[in-house]
Amino acid sequence: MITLPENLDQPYRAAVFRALADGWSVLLGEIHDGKVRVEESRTFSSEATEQAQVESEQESTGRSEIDEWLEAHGSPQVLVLLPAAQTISRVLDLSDAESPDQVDQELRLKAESHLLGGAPAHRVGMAALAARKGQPRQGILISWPASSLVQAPTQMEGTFYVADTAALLGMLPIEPCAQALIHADQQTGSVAVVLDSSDGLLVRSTREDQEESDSWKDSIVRTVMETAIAGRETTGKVKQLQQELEESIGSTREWQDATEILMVPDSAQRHLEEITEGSGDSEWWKTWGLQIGALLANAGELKPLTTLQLRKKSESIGPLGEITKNFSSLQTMCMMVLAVFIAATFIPIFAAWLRLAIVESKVDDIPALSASLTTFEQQKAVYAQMAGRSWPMTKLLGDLANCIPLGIQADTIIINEGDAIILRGRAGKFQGISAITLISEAMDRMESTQVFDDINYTSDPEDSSGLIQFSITATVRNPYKNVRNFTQDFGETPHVQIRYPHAFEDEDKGDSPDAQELASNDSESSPRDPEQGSTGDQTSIIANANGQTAGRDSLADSRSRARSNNTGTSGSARPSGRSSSTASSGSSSPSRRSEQTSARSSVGEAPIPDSLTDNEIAAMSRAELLDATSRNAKARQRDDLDDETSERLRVDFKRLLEATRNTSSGGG
Amino acid sequence: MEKRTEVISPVAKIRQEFNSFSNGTRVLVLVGIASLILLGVGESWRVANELNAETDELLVQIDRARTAQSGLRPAFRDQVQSMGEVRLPTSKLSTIAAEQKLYVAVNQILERNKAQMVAISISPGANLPNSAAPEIPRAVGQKLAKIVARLEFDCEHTAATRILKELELNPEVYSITRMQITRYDSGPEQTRGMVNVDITLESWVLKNKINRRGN
Repeated sequence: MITLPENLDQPYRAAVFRALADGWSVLLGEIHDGKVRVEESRTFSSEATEQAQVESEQESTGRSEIDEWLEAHGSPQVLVLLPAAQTISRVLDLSDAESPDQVDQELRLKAESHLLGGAPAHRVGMAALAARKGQPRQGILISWPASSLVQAPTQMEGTFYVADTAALLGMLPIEPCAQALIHADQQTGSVAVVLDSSDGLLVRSTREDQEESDSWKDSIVRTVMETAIAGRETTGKVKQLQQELEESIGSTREWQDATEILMVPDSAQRHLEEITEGSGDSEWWKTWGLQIGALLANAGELKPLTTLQLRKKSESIGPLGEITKNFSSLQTMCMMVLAVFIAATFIPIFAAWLRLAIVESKVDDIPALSASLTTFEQQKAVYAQMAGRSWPMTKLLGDLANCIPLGIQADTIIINEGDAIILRGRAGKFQGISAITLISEAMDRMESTQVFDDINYTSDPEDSSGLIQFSITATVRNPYKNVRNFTQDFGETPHVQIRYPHAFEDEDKGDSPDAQELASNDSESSPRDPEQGSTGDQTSIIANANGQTAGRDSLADSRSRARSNNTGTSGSARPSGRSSSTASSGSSSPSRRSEQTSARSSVGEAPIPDSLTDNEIAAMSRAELLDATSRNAKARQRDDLDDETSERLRVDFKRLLEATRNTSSGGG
Repeated sequence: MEKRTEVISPVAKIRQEFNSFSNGTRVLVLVGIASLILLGVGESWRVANELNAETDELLVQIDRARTAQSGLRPAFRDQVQSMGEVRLPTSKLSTIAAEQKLYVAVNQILERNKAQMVAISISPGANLPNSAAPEIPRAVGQKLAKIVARLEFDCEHTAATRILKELELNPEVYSITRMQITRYDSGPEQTRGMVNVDITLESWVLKNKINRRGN
């Protein structure tokens, strides 16, 4: 045959299916050593197949009887014959190129011009025919339009579809025979014609829907004649062909009642019978001959014509396989390696540079920052080194000066680091308070500061002028105790305003002169800082000390009371009149002290002071006025005040401020 | 007949050239290319590491600045507020120069407050132990040492504390180690309300240790 492979390395097996009206016919054959061996030919009814499918579904196997039959026969290649009415066949004239590549390229170019992209690639088959004696080189193009659908006999993967014309070509002898190969099926209306003319092959597949047998046969003859005329056969040959066909198809009993016609030249038929083992008589060939042709076409050089597919074969390779496939090309790999190299080289540098730039943008002057930090840490080290032994002399001097009451005059002050401090001076009776009481008062105040400790004194007898020469010695327990920070700078902000920051909000709005007055009065009576408060002016020292005495009285009282209950507190020699002097100073305003004590002892909100009469305010000293102002301001901070009480406190506050201002201006 | 010249791309030329090599040469070429790539990557990583180290150092500085303020003890603040700023001892300031600066500072303060200097003596003091203020950088053979100044002056009693405060806050004065204030009880000074102040000041310098040969 034109395509019969003489030497196949492996035996080739295939099962060729063909659709029948009520099922499928299948021929299982094998080609080996130039011979075709028919293993089995049988039919499957559509009912049996459907029944088998139902049963299979119940068994959840999902396989039909055909599938089981195929599996039982070793799953051969499955071929399905396509009716000619569903396919388009074309003959392409090729040049006499010798190289197979050139022939292939020419065939593809010409096929493309015929198809123009109208058919999907998996439904197009093309093959170059072997050169035949006295005929030009030709190629065959078969396309299966996507709109043509057929039922598949099996769901097995790798099923190929073979057009009738391709099967006829598989039966074509290698030597030109000037005869026609025809397959016509009245049921499907298909007519496939392969005309072996002197100028080459003519192939045609068409549809002829005729219900009457005679007219159907006439239409077959007419189709063949048209094909011959289109192939520019001579009139004589056309008439001869017509006569032969009319005799064989229309007159003989062979095709009298047939609904399917398969005409093969006698020479070809003989050859087919020679090479086929297991075939039958002429009736067998009429039934199974086309499937033998499909088998032969699929095994030989016409195979490209017999590999049409119903659907495009989709490769399920998974995401990993997709990636592997993408990277399988050398160019892609090289690009990827280059990209990785660039990324590995430049991304770390870029990232590090970006990080540095961001951090640098946060600091304006890095060297200055480093230098200042270094200086700061070195200074910190110096202060840490000095902290253990250096004393703040000016601060200690201020602390000491604040402890000296009026009536005492300091002559010499000696402070040595790590040693006792010595205060030598003179004391005399002042405003009815004895010198001894004043000295005791000074010692009490020194002790209450918690800066000094081990306070002792020695004194001479009272001289003729009533003065006592004395000497107080003390150790420094905590030299840095009560260092005023800037928020305690009473020169900037009065003490009362620091303690009650919200008390002056109203006054700042409407009564600012009064508040400023109080602030100025308060700042006058308070040292700007310990150093300034203890300047060498002894008068001011004493005044400041008195100013702070008001705040310390209660503490001194409590300390003296505690000492009176604890006779073994220290071995210091105390003046005998100290306790009485303390009592006298503390008794100067017993009512105020009780109020202070109650205010201190109250843990919750500040008590609301009673309203003071004008006479009571006029009788109050400046310290008492300040204290009353403080209590008033503290009470005004409460959240639970009703409007009436709040208004009363506000009026009282203004009255107290006014009285304080008058007292200050009057020198009281 | 005109000679036909074949035009090939540089890549194809390189590939052609590479294919003409023997197997051993091909391996050498591939190893060389791989080495160059590794060297390039390694160098870039080294530079990146240097940049990262610089960034880390900056971050440490920023963190130091952030914690410097918040990490201060209240006692430290009290100390700084009481004693004022101090000049750090550095190698650039010799003992003599430090003594001169201290002298100038004392003179300026006394002059500004119209005090009369009675006596002043500035002399090197004892060395501080090696463990003192280790944060201060010192070269080999250098030690922290004191400068001690004894100062006596007369001033009005209203100015004594102010002078003491200015002296204590002056960066040249680290601390006042001794102080004695005495009121004049006779003479014209008493009339003018003068006091006599006798104090000892201390400052620090970095001193080069001198060996026994005096070098």
